[in-house]
Amino acid sequence: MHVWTLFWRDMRARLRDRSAIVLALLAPAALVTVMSFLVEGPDVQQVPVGFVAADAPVSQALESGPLASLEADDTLTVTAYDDEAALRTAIADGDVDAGVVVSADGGAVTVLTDPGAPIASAILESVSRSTALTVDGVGQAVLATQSLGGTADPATVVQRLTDSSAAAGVVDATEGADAIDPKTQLAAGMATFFLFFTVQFGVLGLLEERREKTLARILAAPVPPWQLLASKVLVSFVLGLVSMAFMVGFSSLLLGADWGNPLGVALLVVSGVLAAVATVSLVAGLAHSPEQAGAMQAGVALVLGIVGGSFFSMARAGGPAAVATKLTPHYWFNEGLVRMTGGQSWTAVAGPVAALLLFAAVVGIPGLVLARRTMRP
Amino acid sequence: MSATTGDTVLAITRANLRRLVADRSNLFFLVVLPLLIVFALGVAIGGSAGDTRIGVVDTDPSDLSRSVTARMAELQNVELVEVGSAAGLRDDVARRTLDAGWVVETSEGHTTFRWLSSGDGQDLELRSVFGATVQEAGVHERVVALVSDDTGAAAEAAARAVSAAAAATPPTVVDVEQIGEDGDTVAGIQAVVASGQLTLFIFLTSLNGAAYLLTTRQLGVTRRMRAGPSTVSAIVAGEALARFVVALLQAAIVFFGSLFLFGVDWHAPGAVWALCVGMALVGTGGAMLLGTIGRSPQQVGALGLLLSLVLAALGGSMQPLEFFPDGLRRIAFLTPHAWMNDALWRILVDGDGLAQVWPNVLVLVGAGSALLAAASVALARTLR
Repeated sequence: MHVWTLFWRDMRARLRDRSAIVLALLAPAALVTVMSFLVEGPDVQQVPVGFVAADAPVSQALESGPLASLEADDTLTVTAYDDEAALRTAIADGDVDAGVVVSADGGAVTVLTDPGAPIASAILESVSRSTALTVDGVGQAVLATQSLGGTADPATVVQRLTDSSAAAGVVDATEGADAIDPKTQLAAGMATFFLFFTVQFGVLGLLEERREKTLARILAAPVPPWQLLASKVLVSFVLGLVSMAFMVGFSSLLLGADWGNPLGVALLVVSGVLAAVATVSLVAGLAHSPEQAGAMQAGVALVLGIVGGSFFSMARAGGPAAVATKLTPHYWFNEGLVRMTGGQSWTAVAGPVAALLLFAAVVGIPGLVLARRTMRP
Repeated sequence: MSATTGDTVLAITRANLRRLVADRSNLFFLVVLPLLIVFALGVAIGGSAGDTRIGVVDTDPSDLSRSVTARMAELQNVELVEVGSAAGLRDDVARRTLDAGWVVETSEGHTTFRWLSSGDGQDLELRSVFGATVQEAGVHERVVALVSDDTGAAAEAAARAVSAAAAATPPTVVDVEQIGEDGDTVAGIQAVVASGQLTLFIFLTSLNGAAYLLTTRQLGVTRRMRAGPSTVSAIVAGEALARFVVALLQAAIVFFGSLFLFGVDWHAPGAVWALCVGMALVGTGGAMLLGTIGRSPQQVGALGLLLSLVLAALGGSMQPLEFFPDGLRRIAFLTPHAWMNDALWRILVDGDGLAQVWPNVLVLVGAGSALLAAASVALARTLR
């Protein structure tokens, strides 16, 4: 078979010039390594807040209730201030992010917020409101009970009002959520992004062969044109597979990514590479020169990658961006991984794989027809 | 520099620029791509997607669940999204299009709020806020139920007694007072996104020029120029000036493009341009060095792309340095990008000007000059 001869010649050439190695292996691996440090975000710090206490029930309830428990679970660090002026100065100086002031008579609670620290402000605001309402509720319960001829002990009333098994409760169901691990999502994003650069090294070689006139010489030999085309497509496909496999292995072993069921990942990778090869075939069919083809492929790869959410999820943006992102192979690759989270079997990727294959067919068939037409001496 | 040397420098620069414009695809990379990225990232981050997105599944809303939803909706930087089913919520949290969410379930008068989150970021904080909000919304019902239980009174009677008690005692007033300026965060985010791309593209475009220099050298054009009356320094200066002009052109496209198309306020344009000039020097130096020591256009092109993307990621062009872990932040300052991005962040967010960021400009100009000097020596050596 001439296909293999042609295939090996191209593969050797690609390995010699090293640019394929840079784009297929080095660039995605380097980027994902750098960015995986970033997904951990800034060092998690307890949010510093200030508190001005008073000799009043609401002050004690705040201090011993929500503020104490938020400090215990490392969400906040609470610093006590003598008066409101001292706290305001501390917020202005950036010593604390926000604060709560209980007035001397306990009749008013003022939350001092900073727009630069929305989370700290939201926490203080919500716990102040709920504590104030609860403390008021205790008083109302005692009064109302007395007015109806009963007696109530404030201490037990407090306990019963804050008990979570009462009329409404919050249950944390996060354990069952199984969100996709951000490092895996990132590695998949980079791998698919660079995949569309990597595959150009096979099929776009056709245009170079045409310019260098080697195409004419090969076609002059008794080589069926489809075998030449097949060899180029095969080079793209194999380079794409190697790049993706490397990224799966690299991110799993060194960065602790978790791609999910191996068979499901393999199906996604193969169909994803097919979609990329289809894209580059269409570019080869449409372009007139190797430079133009290279620029077109880079443009297509960048646009598909950005819209497809390789860097930031466009599905989050909603509106037209959320619709456009579903037209890209990148989105469906990620979606396949999402559907396998939580230990789902490989069958969970059926839908996304079908979408990738559909993309490959819709783009690839016209692409191959056009590319075949460029195979003239 | 004599008049003829000046002419030589300009002639080489002009020839290089003509070559750049002749290739139409460069238009895409110089103009369309950077602005497209600023636009796309602006949509993704600057819009509501930069907020914390919380899904709500409340198929049969009650007063209680409505008041919880209303309170949560008041939070800054939080966007509530209505979701049809608990399974839909779980899927959206799994694919991280939602950061968290809750499902309201009611059975026999008991309401349960099931909180679901992706398990990282600010989940714990949001969960605290949500817990307090549910507590607040349910207090009145609980008080009534408690009074009714203790006295054996009917629910209506208990509710009347509680209302009377509430009217008799002054409630604790909770006020919220905002300290400090509330900046226009959306416009600010768009500016930060644009600034990251400004840094990235000045460098990327410069390094792309390395392949041009390499082919010029390989085709023997530079050596032939040497055969004429042009001095080595004029040839080197011409090649460098061409790259520098292209880098500045790229800076201008991103700067004015984001200004006019997306309304980005650059705050201190003079300081931003000083940084651009510094970065353009670094890019020029890098491109000259790469184009001189590289061996094939493919190799130089791939290496240039690799360097541009990795240095940009590490230098805070893809995510602001402010969000870096401390250790990585220190390493980041080994890249020129970090010096520029740090200064741009301070200009755009903290309102600094040239008076504060001049050390960053100095670092860039210094690094750029050093690179350029090294590259010029190397290029001159290939010509002698």
